[in-house]
Amino acid sequence: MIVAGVDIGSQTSKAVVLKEDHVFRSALFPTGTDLYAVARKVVENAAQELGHTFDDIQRIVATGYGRVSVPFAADTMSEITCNAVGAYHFYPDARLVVDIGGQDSKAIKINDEGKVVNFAMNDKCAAGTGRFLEVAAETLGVSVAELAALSRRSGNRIRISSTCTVFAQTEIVSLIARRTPQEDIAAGLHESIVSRVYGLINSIGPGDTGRVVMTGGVARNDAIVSLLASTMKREITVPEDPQIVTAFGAALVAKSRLGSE
Amino acid sequence: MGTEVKIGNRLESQNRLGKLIVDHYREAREIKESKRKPIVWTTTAAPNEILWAMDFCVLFPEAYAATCGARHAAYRHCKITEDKGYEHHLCTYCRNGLGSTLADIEGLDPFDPLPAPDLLLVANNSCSLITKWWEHLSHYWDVPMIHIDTPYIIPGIQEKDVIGHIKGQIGDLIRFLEEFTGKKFDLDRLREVVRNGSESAKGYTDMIKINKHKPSPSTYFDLMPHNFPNLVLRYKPEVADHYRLMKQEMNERIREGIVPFENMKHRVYWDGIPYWFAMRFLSKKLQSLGICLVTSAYSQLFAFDRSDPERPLDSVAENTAYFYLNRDVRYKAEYTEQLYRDYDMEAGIFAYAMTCKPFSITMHYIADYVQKKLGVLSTIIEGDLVDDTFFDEEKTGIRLETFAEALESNKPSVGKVVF
Ligand code: SF4
Repeated sequence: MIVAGVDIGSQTSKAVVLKEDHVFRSALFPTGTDLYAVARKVVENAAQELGHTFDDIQRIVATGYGRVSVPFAADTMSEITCNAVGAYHFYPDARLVVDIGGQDSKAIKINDEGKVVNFAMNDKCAAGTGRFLEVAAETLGVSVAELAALSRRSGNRIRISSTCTVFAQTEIVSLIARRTPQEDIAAGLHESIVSRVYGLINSIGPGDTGRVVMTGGVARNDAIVSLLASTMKREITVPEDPQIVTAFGAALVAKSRLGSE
Repeated sequence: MGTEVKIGNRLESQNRLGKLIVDHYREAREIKESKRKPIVWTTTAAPNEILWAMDFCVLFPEAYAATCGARHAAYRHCKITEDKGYEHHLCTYCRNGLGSTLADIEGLDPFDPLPAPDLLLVANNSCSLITKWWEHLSHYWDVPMIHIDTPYIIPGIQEKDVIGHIKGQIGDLIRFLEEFTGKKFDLDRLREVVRNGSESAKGYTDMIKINKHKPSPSTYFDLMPHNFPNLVLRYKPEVADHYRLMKQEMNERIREGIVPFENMKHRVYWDGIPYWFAMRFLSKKLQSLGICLVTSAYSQLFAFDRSDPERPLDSVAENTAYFYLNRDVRYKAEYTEQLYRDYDMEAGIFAYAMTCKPFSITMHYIADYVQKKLGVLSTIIEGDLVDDTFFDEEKTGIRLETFAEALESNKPSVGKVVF
């Protein structure tokens, strides 16, 4: 049995190819503008990693915002469902998944069978997403990783009042002009994202039992993870590769549907 | 659902409704030309029977906003208002109304504008912003405005005092109108107007309830526009006929096993003012997911079901006081729970409107309440009444797909899901 899940996100595309039970390989590329080409490329790449070709794959499920541009997928499924399936697979005691990706953030409550019981997603703007951090880092002239490092050294977190990405940029410029230490601005920016995401989490009635799992590209930012954990007063688990959890979930869905037609 | 289902075409009643709407606006334009009646702009649940009884041509800027939204014309009006410096987050019904007014006054070609008012009536039972909106209209059109204050019906308040307070203001309104028109108020004419209104209201509420049938003969989106006759034309005896024919048509569908679309899987509640510009997208999306919207508390806004010709003044005051938006959140939550039970619905979609906070702010509470009480799934989508800049098809699509996937996987009939 060889199946694949492909997650075409707004900034990165991920694929997971799953062989038999647990042998899998993943690939990740920037999404770009040709969604079909990138979808094909990530799947092929992950298949090759496993010593197979694209044609060996028996079933593919596509997810993410570009899911409808993957004609070779047998099914599509929303990234929220796939994310929950993936997170539950790695951590059967997960009851809350927080996913912060390039342009959206999500909070997903799952039950003891891994089913989605409630979820919320950020609204139209990029506040509370990875994009917010990227724009802020660019404005400060540092990388996102450096921004996180700076934030950890802050002794006096500044409050960034603009949640809007564009306004936050202006605010950063005026903070720099006022000679506010970069560390404190960085800490304020992290705080701003965390407070948006915290609101999102609370809107679904997250409960206080079970494991909290964080996925998506921003889960690699340990400054965000630890700030969110202390705000929530909960421990947060980050999978080894937090960016491929949704694609993994899609592959599991493909596996469950194999031979169902 | 058995396999013997037939898929219905558009309800014939939609064509009749279209004609009622066109005739109403045509008549209003003719009245403006001939000046045979004064024109008043009013709010949904003001004591409008008094206006009809005194032979006004009565127009509803809120209904006009919905039409502009559905016809993709509201953005033009909203933009005009924004260009004048009104902010983007201001209620877009209001922005549409002010924008079309400004366009009309300044010769900027508004979309099918309402004929200009001679008078304005406003009740603050939907929200307090609306009074400010009307104040601006009064300023721009330079016509008088009458305001009916409707205290909020909340636990602990003496409801009879609220009704008395409104009834007192109705008395003032009548005196003002007598002076304004030079005509005497006729209680018998009011009785007749209220009688027509009560027949229409009964027809409307009975029609809405037909969707209790499983499977429902129509989707809620098909029924929703039919609030127009009961809102705008209920003073006319023929409106009751519209609902009678509509009920006939729906009952016929039930007898013949006709359903609105193929593969109807889920009976779902809708909460909130529709996103008028996105109705086609939402209908198509929901159908593709097998979701049939069955009913909504929104229909209660247009029920006017207290109308009683034996107590014309009191019942008009009661319709104003007990307007759904003038009730406390607990009442709304319990009302919604009852709808879930009566219509046997398995989940709910709550349509948060970014610029209508009074309506939207209660959604989290209500969604949470029914979820806890009935163990049903709810989802909150985000958008707006008539301004599509607040709406993201992709994000809404993902929310609805996830919602449908969760409904599928939680369906007991499916058994333990594979993943
Ligand atoms: S804010 Fe909502 S309730 Fe108030 S006028 Fe606007 S649409 Fe109506």
